[in-house]
Parts: sequence; structure tokens; C-alpha cells
Amino acid sequence: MDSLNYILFICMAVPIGLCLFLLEGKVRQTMVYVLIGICCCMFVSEINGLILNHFDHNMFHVTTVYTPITEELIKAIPVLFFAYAISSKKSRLLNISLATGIGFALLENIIILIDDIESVTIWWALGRGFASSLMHALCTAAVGYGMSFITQRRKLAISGTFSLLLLAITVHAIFNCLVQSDYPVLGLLLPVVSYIPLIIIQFRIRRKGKQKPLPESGEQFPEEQESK
Amino acid sequence: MNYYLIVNAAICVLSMVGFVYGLCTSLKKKKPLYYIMIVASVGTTAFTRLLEVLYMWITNEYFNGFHIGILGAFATFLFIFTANYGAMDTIGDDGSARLKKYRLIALAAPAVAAGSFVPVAMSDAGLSTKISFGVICLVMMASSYFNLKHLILPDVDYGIIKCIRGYNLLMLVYSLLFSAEQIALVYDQDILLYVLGSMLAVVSALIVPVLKKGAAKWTV
Repeated sequence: MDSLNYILFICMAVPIGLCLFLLEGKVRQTMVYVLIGICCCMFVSEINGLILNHFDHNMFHVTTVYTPITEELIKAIPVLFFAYAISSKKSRLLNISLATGIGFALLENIIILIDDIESVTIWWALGRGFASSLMHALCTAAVGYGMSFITQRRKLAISGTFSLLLLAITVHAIFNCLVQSDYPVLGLLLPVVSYIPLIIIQFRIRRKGKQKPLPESGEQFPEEQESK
Repeated sequence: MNYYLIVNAAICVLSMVGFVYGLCTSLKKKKPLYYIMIVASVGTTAFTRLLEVLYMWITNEYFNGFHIGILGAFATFLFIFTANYGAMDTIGDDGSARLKKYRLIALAAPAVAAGSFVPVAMSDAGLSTKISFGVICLVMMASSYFNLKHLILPDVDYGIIKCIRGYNLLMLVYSLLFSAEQIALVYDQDILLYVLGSMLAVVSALIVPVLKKGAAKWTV
């Protein structure tokens, strides 16, 4: 099964990696981060496997205590690198953090699918698609979005970054806890309920003709400047 | 442990109310970074308590050993520390010698926070519980130092810190209640835990509105 994970990883990563040579600008950057998200998932799956073995396959304990930490920390590394080394602009951070989260969720879905392929149904697919994948994307996006504030001042850097990571870990743990409760539907609803207000806000902002992705900071980042 | 579940649920709901209120006010009008970080702190409290409620609901017991709720509580105080240290302190404290006495007086808050660790350290609680509260206590010491400092600091330049004294007082009360809650938890003082939890819930709900009221004067 382990080697099958690597086969799936190669099947997903190689085409994306090859298309990077033909893409340009922001699209390439986004695809790079989707690829990084896939790589993060591969790395995390190995670490989580080791943790699971260490705790005698106590799935509830591991998924509510340890996997949120490993997953959120490793997903955040490329986002933190981008924020500190490349750009701290809100819209760009939001783009790449969402891409990392989605890339991570893509491979995770497939790995979970092949682990228990006989019990997979269309409802499982809808649940994974609308809830788990969205949760990964939103948690990473929250870190990316928060980093655009944190990087404004050097004094905020260390403690602010850790605060954001811990917040993402807590939300991830809530999701993992809910999906393993007697009412897993609540777990599936959590990311959707968090996502809908964001969509409404974004839609309203676009309608007003503003360029910013979310309105908290009140800052604008013109697309022309960003492409430079 | 059902009563503690209810108390946690109350803290979760009321802090979530404060968090949503903070988010809505931030969306309506541009708010300073300090305000946004405190809203994030209240949000972290809400999510942390939600996690604890869910865990107790699913397993019918409180956490045994390390858990994510510890990280959430740590993050709550870390957000407050970050906001105080990174976004506010340089405005009120220019580092001059004339403010030295206020800095020294403010050390009383971390001393009290450190003192609250003593009963936990002396209890029969497990080592992981002691270490967890010790780590939270460290960051609480740092955040409460700035809260007390900003409460007593004479605001000569802009009147910015003076406006949020109510909020700083509330944060000190929150830190004190949180410490007392941990002590009540390790000594199984059920009634005390229930009372402290209820007070924490009320304070959690008040933090953002009180800060907003103070912050509203910044633009005047």
C-alpha cells in the first residue's frame, strides 16, 4: 500500500510539474503551490503513519491530537516561506495558501480512497470534496491571510506566526473531532458554514468593484503591481 | 464532568458571540491591527472551548494528558501578547527612564500569574497537566505584564492607551479567572469551577465590545 501512495503521488505530481515549464506568471505560481501541497501531503502521510504505529493505531486519539499538528505545520511551511521571502501581499498570500491547501487535500483524498476503496460511496466523495478538502484549504488560507497582517511589523513575526498556526491546528482538530462523533454531518457542515460567509463577502466586494480579496485591512493591491 | 461540559459550552457560545461581533465590526469599517488580533484571540478561545466540549461529548471524559486545547489556550494568550507587545507597547512606552516605575509595578501581574502555578504544581495532577499549565502560564505572564502596564501607564502623547484601560482591566480579570479555573480543575472543586467558568464566559463576551468602545475614540 505504501508504494501505491508513491505511485499516486508520481501520477499527480509529474504532469503538474511538467506543465510548469509552459505556464507563466501567477498561474505558474499557483500551480507550483498546488504541487508543493501535494508534496506536503506525501511527507505528512509518512509521518502520520509513524505516529499511528506508535499509538497502536488509535485513530481517534491520533487524529484529534497529533495529525492536526503535523498537517497544519507542514502545510504552513511553504506559506511562511512565501510570506517572509517572496511577498506579503494579501491577495498573493491568499492565492498560494489556498493552492497549497487544495494540493494537499487532492492527494489526501486519493490516499484515503485507496486505503478503504470498498466502502467508498458517492456520499463519501461529496463529503471529502465539500468538507475535508475545503477544511484543508480554509485552514491554510487562514494562516496565509493572517500572515499578511503579521508581516506588517517585525515585532509581530514570531509570536504572531505561532498564534496563527495554533489557531489553524485547533480548527483542524475540531473538524477531526466532529467527523468521528455520532453526528459526522456536523463535521462536514463546519467548513461549508465557514466558507459561505467568505464567498458572500468576496462577492459583495467584487460587486463594489474593489480589488482587495477580503475587507478587514482596507488595503488595495492592484493586479498590475502584483504581477511585477 | 457534565457540568464542566456545560460551562465550557457557555464560554464557547459567549466568546463566539464576541468573535462574530468583532468580525462584523471589522468588516463594516477598517479596524486597527491591534483590534483584529484581539478579535482573533477571542475567536481562538471560542474554538478551543468548542474542541473541549466536543471531546467531552464524544468520550464522556475530560482530556487525559496532552491535547490540542492546551495549544488553543496558549494561542489565546499569545495573540494578546502579540497585540500588546507588537502593536501597542511602543505607542505608550518610549523606553524612557521616567516610565521605569510603571514597568516595575507592572511586574506584579506576571508575579501573580506565576503564583497561580504553585497550587497546580503542588497538586496530584499528572506531569503533563502541570507542564501544560506551566507553558500557558508563561505566555499569560507575558501578556498580563503588558495589560497591567497599559492600565497604569500615563498616556501623555495620543491618549490611545487611556481609551482601552477598561479592556486591559477586563483582560487581567480574564487571566486571573483562567488561572483560578485551572486550579479548580486540578483540585476537582466542582462548584468553584462552575462559578469561575460562568464568569469567564461573561468576560469573554465583553472583551471585544469593551475594546471596540475604547478603540472608537482613537479616530475622534
